[in-house]
Amino acid sequence: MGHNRMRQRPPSWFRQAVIGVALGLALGFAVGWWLWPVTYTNTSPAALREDYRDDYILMVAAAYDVEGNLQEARARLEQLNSDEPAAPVRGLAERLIEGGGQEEDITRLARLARALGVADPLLTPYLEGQP
Amino acid sequence: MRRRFPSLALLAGLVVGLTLGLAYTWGVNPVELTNTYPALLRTDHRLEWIRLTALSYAAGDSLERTQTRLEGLEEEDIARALETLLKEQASHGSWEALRRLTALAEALDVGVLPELLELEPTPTPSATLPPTPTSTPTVTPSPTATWTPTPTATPSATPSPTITPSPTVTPTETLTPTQTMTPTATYTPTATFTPSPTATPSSTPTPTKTPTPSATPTPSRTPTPTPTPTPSPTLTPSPTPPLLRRLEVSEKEQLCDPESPLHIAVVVQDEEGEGVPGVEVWLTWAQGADRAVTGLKPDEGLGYADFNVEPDTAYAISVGELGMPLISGLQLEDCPDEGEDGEPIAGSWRIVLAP
Repeated sequence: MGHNRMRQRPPSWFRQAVIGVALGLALGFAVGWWLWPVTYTNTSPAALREDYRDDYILMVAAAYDVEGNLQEARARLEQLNSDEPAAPVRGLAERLIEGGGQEEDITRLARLARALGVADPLLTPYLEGQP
Repeated sequence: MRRRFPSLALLAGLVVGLTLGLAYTWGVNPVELTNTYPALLRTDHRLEWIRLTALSYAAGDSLERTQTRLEGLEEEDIARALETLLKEQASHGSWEALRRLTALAEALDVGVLPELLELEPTPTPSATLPPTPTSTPTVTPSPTATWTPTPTATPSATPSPTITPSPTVTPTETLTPTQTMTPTATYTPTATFTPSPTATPSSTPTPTKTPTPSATPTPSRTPTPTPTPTPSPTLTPSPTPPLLRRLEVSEKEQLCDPESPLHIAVVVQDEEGEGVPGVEVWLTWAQGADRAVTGLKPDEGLGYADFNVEPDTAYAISVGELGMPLISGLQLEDCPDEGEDGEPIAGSWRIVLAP
C-alpha cells in the first residue's frame, strides 16, 4: 500500500516545473501589466478618456462657431467612431444641462446639434437665448 | 544528477510561465486603450487637438481652460499648430480670431515665429473692436509753474488738508497713464488749474499765498477719481461684437425677378452703410436651419449673404451668436405684377440689417 502511494505522487521535477510556470506567469503579469505595460502612442480621439472626449466634443462645437464649417465639424466628430456624428454632441449637451454645465458650452453644442439636424426640445431654449 | 534535474524543471517552467504571461498581457489582453490622453494621440490627431484648443480660445474660452487642455503636449507641437492656424486665419481675413490667437500665442510663449505674431489685426471698418489703448503721455500738467491763485478759484484750488506739500513729487511720473486706463478727457487738467485770463485776480495775492512748489496742488491726486470703469488688463472684447447686438432690420425689399431663383438676401451694414463681411447669418424655419456668412459673394457686396428658400414657409433670420431672431415669420409673397403667362410670381426678399 505504502509503495503504491509513493508511486502515485507526481515526480518532483513535475512539481518544480509547475511551480516554475506559476512563478513565470506571476512575473509575466507583473511585467506586462504593471512594470512595463504596452504603451500606445498613436491613438485616435475615439480612445480618449471620457473627460478628454467631452472636451474634444466641446472644442469641435467651439471651432464650428469660429470656422462655420459644418463638414469639418462632422469629420471631426466621426473620429469618435459614433454611429451618428450628432449623437455625442446631443448626449453631451443633455448631460451638461442635467449637470448644470456652463451655459455657453451648452449653447455651442445646441447650435452644432441644430446644424447637424438634431431637433431636441431640450436644446431649443439655448438656441433662443433663453435657457 | 537528481539535484540538477528539479532545478532545470523549475527554470524551464519559469521561462514558459513568463512567456505565457507576457504573451497574455502584451498581446491578448493588454492595457486598456480606452483611457488615453491627448499626448498619446497620433501626430495628426494631436495637432488637431491643439488646433481645436486654440479655436476654442478664439471662440471665447478662457486662457486657464486652454492651458489645461494643452497640458502634457510638446511646446514644439503647440507652436507648429498655432503657426498654421495663424497663417490660415490671416489669409481668411478672420481678424477677430487672429487677434485672439495672437494673444494666445503670446500668452503661451511657445516659440511661435515672431513675424506671425506681428500679423496684428487692424481695426475693421465695422469698428466692432474696442479701441486699443495707446499710452499717450499727453497729460503733462505743467501749468503748476504758472499757476497763480485767484480768489475765484480758491474753492476748488484750495488744497485739501490731506495734500501735504511734497516738492519731491513730480507730476509726470504719477500721471503716466497705465495700459488699463483709457485716456479720456478727464485727464486734462481742469479749468481750475489752468490760469485763465478771465480769472484776473481782483486782489493781489498775499505773500503768504505765493505758490511755492510745495504748495502746488499736485494734479496727480485730483484725477484719481476720474477713471471710469476700465477694460480688463487683457482687453478681451466680448465674444459677440457690439455691432451685432445693435443690428436691426432697416430695410425690407421685395425682389421680383422671375429669372432668379427664390431666395432671401441679407445685407449687413455698419453705421456708415458699409457692408460688413464675416458675419454669421442664420435662417431658421420649423423644420430646419441654414447658415451663411457675409462676404463670400464679393460681387454682391461685402455684407451680402443669401439663402435659397421655398414658398409657403415662414423663416426667421438671426445673426452671430445671438439666438433671438431679428425678423421672423418671413414668407415669400406674390409680386404686384403678374408674370408673362398671367400667373402670379413669388418675389424674393432683400433684408438689410444695420444699427
